[in-house]
Amino acid sequence: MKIEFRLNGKDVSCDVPENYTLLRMIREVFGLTGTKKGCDQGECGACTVLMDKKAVTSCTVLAPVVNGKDIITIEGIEKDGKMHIIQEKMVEAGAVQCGFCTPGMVMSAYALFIQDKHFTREDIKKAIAGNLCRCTGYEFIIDGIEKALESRGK
Amino acid sequence: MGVGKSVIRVDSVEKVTGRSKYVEDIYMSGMLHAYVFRSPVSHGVIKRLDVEKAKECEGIHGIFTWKDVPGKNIIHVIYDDQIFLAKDRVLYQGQPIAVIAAKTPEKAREAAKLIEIEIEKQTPLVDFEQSKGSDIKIYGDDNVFCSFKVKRGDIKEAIKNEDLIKVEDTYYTQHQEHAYLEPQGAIVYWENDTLTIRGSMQAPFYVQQALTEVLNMKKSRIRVIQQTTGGAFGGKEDVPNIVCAQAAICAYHLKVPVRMVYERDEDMMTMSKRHPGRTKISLYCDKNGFFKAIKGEYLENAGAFSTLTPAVLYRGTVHLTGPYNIDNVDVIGEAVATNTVPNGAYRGFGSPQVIFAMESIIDTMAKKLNMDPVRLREINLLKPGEKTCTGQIVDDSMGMQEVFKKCVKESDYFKRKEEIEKYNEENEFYKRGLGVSTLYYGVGLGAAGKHMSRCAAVVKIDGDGSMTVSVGITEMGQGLRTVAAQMTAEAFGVDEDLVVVSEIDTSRIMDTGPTVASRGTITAGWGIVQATGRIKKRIHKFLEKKYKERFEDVHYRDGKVYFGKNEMDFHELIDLCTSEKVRLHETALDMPPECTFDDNGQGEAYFVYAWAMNVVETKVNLLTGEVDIIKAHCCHDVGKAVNPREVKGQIMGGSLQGLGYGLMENMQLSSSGSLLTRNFSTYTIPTSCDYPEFIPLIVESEYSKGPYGAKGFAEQPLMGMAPALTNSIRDACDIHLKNIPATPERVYKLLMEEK
Ligand code: FES
Ligand code: FES
Repeated sequence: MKIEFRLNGKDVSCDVPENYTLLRMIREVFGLTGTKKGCDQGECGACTVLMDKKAVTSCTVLAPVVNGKDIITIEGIEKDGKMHIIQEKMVEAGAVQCGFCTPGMVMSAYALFIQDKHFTREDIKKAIAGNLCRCTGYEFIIDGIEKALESRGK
Repeated sequence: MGVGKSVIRVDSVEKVTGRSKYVEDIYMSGMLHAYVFRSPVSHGVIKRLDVEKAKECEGIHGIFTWKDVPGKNIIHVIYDDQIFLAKDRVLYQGQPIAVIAAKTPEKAREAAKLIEIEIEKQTPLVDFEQSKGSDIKIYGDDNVFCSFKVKRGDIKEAIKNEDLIKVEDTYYTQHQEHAYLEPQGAIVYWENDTLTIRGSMQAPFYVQQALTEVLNMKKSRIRVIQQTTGGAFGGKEDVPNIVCAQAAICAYHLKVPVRMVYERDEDMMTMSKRHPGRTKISLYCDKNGFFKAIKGEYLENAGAFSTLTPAVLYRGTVHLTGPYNIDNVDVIGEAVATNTVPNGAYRGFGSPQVIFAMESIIDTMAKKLNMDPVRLREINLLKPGEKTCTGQIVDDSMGMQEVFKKCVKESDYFKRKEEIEKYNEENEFYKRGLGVSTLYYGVGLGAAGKHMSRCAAVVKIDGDGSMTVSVGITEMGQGLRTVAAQMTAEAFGVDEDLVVVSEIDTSRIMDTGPTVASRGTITAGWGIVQATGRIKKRIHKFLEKKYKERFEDVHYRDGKVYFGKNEMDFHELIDLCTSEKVRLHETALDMPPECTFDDNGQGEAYFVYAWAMNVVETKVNLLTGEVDIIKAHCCHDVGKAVNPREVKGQIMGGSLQGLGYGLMENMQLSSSGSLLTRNFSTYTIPTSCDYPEFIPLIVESEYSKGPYGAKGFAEQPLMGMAPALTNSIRDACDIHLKNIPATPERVYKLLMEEK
């Protein structure tokens, strides 16, 4: 079926089978492989993207649902070749080990970042509770996100 | 810049932007997808297998069975008992029978449904305690894969002393799933008439060896490259041999690229796990609390094939008695077969099971003696110059005492103990507790794996001063590439920016064994120190010739080179060397110190040890049995922290895996051996809401033979967390957990029994 939506700030359209997930569509149709597949069942968060400004697991969103929506993936948050401050702070904090959970983590954090609100450390923990990381023990990830959120001055 | 600094990881920008390419991110034109048809039963005889109808399906390019294996139908690991594609019998549910190559993964799965198979079911042997000598035969006459013993002193004589105090118990531990976030995968294609494999793996040379045998090809025609790997923890040590062979047999026959990426449930169901174990310990001490003798019996459930079990059992047996000074030791370890998924390497490698038992029983002894568990450990911990259970003197890089002091002090153990006592008096339904564990870890492959123990590096400096380093060690998230870059940069006093650590490729570097056993830093480091040292020597000679003068030393610092009264920019020096044809390319190959292990389990079991202590605080809800982990002090002697921030990352990540093992990770099997927990909703691992306040502590007692004083430790953070946790639960509410995980159900049940 034909679907039209916004992907990383650009209007796009494509023809995909209805049973495709958003994850499969962005990876296979648009070649954006930064979004990872860790389980394909909505349990690990590696596939997290933004849909209409909210973090969703793209493996549990079917393609037809995406019609008319605004999707942002990990590839869509860098500006002019510069990393987003969340990415910068996560790198500095040592939040990245194997890196497989990382894009999903960044997107969950980004969903907080774009809200005009203050978030505590506990809020951050809850926001990424659906993003599993087997490597880091989470602490440095949360440090990085916290620093990035602080930089907004809120 | 350099060793000892928390430099930014060299691979982090690529990863945080999503640009790193993992196996599933590679698409090749004409690429097919492989999918495995597996045994639906745990034990049976294959009567008929017919893939012809399935082959006719649209989109199917080939289906391969044992008949299509050009070489040996065996996946080589240590013993050759692991069948690649089942021929006449199946020994566990999920055992591979055929590999399907199709245009899409969906088509492959549809075709799998059309494969006709008749299996005569046989009674499966699932309970590992019934395995030895069972009528159901899986391996050899008695189902025993292997055994080890450690005997020291004279146990019989020692325990005759009737004044000794004895405690005895049996402990059980469960399977543990690695839960690396990236599932197993590989892509195989032909290039330059060479079968090229890119995979998610820890040990490319294992894969090369295994494929040589399966495909009956020359090693040089099989090129294995490690792709960016999304976590491994032991789960990608030998298992990629299987995964790569599955994709490779398709590419071998069809001559097109074939990619194979496991689905999560397939991965959980069929890939290796931590061995479940039973550990029985009798510990004897005198009335002052000094350990006098220990008897231990360790039984491992290996699953259907031996895979890495002999090596896993070796480590478990040697680590059972812990970092304590005990003169009389009698430990036996045995591993047996069952009709369940083969178990293999997992961070700690057979030791977390026995450490759980030993550290628990020490607390029983402390109770019996009415002594604080920390005091009891303190008087028994090994001191420099004393001997381990294998009779090995530990004096080099022996940080146990310092670790102990630091951890007790930083955790403020005794003061918190008092506070907690007060809290518990005032609270009826919540009780808090403090639990500890002390442990050690033999770095490297030890005597059991010494035939694979080598280290190598290739260092090349280009005319502009930038360098490329290749080592035989893989990056799987632990930070090896960063550490290798730091050590190379340190040698020349330059910034890490100048160093690229190349991907590991069997066609470029010699086999230096697997990236396991916390041997990455030391193995890569030895090679780098040697290769850079030789280049530096050559430059030194060249400078002396050029300046017609002898220089005591050529010193590299902050991008400059100092010799005699001269000073030169590093780049200038390299430019000069290049134009005068000084060879700035070096390959080093070396052997680490020798390890030994005799028939009685005595010898230099490992060349060096790492040391650790954990203090864990928990809060138990007496009404529900729920346990909250509040704080964890984790103190590790690492020799030299090449990158302290990354060391802390390893401590926290590893410790959380250990806490998950102790608290919640609960793999379930049915009575017929079918694995029931196949996804992250049934097999739960710690999330950001489960982890405690971590206080990672580093001790650096440098290893005289190590590169820049480093040794290795990355498995150790996991190993002692389960007992520190259960000991703290015991401290809180006086229940003795002899099984993990400490699920609310289990804790609640014990609380009820206690009443
Ligand atoms: S891949 Fe979508 S949640 Fe795991
Ligand atoms: S960094 Fe490996 S899973 Fe998070």
